[in-house]
Amino acid sequence: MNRVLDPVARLCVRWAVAIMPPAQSVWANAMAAEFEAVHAGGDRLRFALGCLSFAVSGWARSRQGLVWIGRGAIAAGLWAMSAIGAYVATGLDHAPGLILFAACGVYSIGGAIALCSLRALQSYAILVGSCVGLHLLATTGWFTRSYQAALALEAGALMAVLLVAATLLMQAARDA
Amino acid sequence: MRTRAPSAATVKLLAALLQQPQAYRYGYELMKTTGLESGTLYPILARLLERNFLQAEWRPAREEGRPPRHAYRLTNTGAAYAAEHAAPKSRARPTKQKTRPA
Repeated sequence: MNRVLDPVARLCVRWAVAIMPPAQSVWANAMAAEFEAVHAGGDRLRFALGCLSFAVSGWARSRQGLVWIGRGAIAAGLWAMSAIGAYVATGLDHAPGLILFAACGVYSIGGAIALCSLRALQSYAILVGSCVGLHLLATTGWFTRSYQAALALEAGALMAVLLVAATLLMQAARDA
Repeated sequence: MRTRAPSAATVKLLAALLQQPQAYRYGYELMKTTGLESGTLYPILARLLERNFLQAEWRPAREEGRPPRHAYRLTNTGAAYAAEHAAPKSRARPTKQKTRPA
């Protein structure tokens, strides 16, 4: 078999074994053993890719997989909110609005980084508290334009919901 | 509880297993017989094993230095299920006997 494709096929099988949920480890071992019995060149890669798809679907349905997918989705959501915040801020000639959206962007990036790197539950609680506090302060004191207040409130609520969801997901991961 | 009819891929696999119900078969061999990809075959094997339609065991490899392989065969329940859903059915319709008037 191709010198490039065979290591790729082997890598796929190793990855499949690594990510398969413990309850299905017997299937990971069965597929890995069977892979050694597949001789035909093209068949090895096809077999390996099939193993990987089985393992990925099993992982995605497992608790750990759901937590990771949830974390990824929340992080992506936070990054998107950050981008929206930055976009809105550039179009504002209203200083408090600009500050709020810039802060929203910074907090979103912080939330995304925290989700990807930190593990302590307390960090999420602090993040949630500070986000909510900042937005409450901004929406009650600074804004005169009602639409900006509504936007800020919505952004604050969304971020709080996202971060609470992240906290719950982390809790689920810890309990798993 | 109403049981769902097996999928086309499951029927293919059951038919292949039903050809030699007593023999242990390997995953790769079943792939070649049925034409199913490993990503389709193994989840079906897992489900059939979970429902006690299959029996699995690790069997030593024929070639030296190779790891033992996981082999599968139908249980009695599985064989009955396979016979019900995957056994080839005769397409010939019973013909009506024409009787000539005496």
